[in-house]
Amino acid sequence: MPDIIFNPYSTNPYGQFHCDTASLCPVSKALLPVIRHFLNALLKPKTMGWRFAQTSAVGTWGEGRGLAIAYCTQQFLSAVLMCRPVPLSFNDPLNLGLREEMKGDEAAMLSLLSAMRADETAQARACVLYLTQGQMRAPVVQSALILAKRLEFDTSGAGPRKKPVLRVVE
Amino acid sequence: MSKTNLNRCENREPQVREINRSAAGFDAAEDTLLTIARCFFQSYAIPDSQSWMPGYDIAEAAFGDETGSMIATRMFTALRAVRYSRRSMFCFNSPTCACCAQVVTEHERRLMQALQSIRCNYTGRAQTELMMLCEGNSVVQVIDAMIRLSNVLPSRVEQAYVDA
Repeated sequence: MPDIIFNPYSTNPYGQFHCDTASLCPVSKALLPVIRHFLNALLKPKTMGWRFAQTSAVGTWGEGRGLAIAYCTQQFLSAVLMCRPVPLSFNDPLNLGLREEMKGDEAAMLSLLSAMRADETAQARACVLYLTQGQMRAPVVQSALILAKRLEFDTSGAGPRKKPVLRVVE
Repeated sequence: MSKTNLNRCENREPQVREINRSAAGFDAAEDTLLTIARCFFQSYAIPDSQSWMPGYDIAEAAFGDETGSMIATRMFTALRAVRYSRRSMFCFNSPTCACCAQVVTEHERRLMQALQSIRCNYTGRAQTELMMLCEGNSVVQVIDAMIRLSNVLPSRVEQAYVDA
């Protein structure tokens, strides 16, 4: 089951989707600041937020995998933004007071990735349609699937990949 | 830190202390790294260009998904170290102008020769180039960052090294 099920009708008039981030699975929880920093970078280029996004991903998943996840996240967000006439709404990643709340668009993105990892096609389709405002665009689906695949190896929760234990084989 | 060359670029010839890219003796990895570095410079000089994105795209296409991102990030760390050490402008050519991209500025040349030297284990020579680039300021951080970068780059063919 996906850890977050997004319902577009549950957002309040201010676009806040009341979801306790503490209830998210470790993967979604770790991905949220990466998404927020990248959105900051993409929508406000002078913030250079992509550096913080990468630092956050490296801190969670280690250098190689973290940077690859960050790259896939950036591709996914770029694809979503390309097919929307309005920017995505998101909370400031540097605002401590807003860390426990999510905007509707953030919740939809996490729900989409969570649904793809859990193979919940109907939920994933609803989230794509919400994010792209009714258009089923191939680049969005493709980039989301690539990111979901990158994330799905994490079965024991987010954390740097453990090095394999070496043993002498006789 | 960075300033792009906005001169007329039609039939642009190398100016004083500039060289042609084809004569710089870069191997494939260094040639790609120069383009990636230019994307990052452009991102600093014109933030709205969002040039860091093509920088990562180029790295990913040339070196693979995990290694590409790692190489681009380590290159960026090295450039940031140069940025902290060097006080004056860093002149670079646009990565998107086909004509200008074929010319290597003096600062780019010193940066790339330092990296070339580190890849060939000529640390002393790299230090000299970086001291010139960083105007005599400390280059310890830059060398550390370049060594970390060279550790993830494919090995260089010794014969291809051009002692410019």
